[in-house]
Amino acid sequence: MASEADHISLADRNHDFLVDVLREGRFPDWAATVAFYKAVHVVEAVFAADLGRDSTSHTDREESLKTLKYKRIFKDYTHLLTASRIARYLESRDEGKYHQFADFMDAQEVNRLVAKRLYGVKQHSLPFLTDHGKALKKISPA
Amino acid sequence: MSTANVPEPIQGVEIDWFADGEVVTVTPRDQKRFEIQKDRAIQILQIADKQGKQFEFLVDRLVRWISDNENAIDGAYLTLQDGTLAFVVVRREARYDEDFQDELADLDFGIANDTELDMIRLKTLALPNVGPSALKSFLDQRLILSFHGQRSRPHQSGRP
Repeated sequence: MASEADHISLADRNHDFLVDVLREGRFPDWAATVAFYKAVHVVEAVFAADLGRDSTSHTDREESLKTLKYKRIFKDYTHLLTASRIARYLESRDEGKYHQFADFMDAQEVNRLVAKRLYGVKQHSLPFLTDHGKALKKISPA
Repeated sequence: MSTANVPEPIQGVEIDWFADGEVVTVTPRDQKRFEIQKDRAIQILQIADKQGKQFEFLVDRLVRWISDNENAIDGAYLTLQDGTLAFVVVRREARYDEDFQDELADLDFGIANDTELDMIRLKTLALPNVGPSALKSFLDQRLILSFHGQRSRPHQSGRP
């Protein structure tokens, strides 16, 4: 099982890349995806510190988040999950208003998503983390 | 005088916990007969009955939610993803809708914590307005329940 420290380290690596890709601004789809994976590792750090276990799958993680004490994490997490799924799997050439990720979110909206929802995941996770975990790299609030 | 037809009584097969004998013999349509312990058969049937009722309750709840959010929804489907049920909603617009995502997260959380739905595992996903071929990759052909509003409205883009 990966430790809280392992997940914080992975969250921080994602954070560094996220800062670069947001600054660059050309790949909002990838920024949304990296933001989600940072959230994944923050949540896994919470589970390691609070429950002493890892999730076995994305579905398992979502199920574990749907408990009262994690409700606020869950709500922010779903925004990142949805954006990343759309970024990774949705491209459409047929009818419908959506054709590519830019139709869903532009770079500014991804910045807002990160500043509000990834920040929210981190802030709501803090009560469950050890002092080491609380030292993870920070996202600026909206 | 009423002329309505009276339905014929259904001939029941009774499995009685207190009946003599410990084994139930089952003969399916393909005649591959098998036996099962009586108390185990009753337990399994009780679970199946409860699951069936919870599924109906879930569908009612999803229909109410769709009705409450009808103006923002182009199509809604109950399907399978990663071994659980999945409620996939296609919105009318392409742009990210923060409030709609919050509403769906509340529904998801509410269902997960509803004691009357304790046998149901469900995930949710809000998609922007997409055409049928893009939607298809989010639906499992083994189960697709398509929800239609009370009003008859042609489904423009989300038809699988």
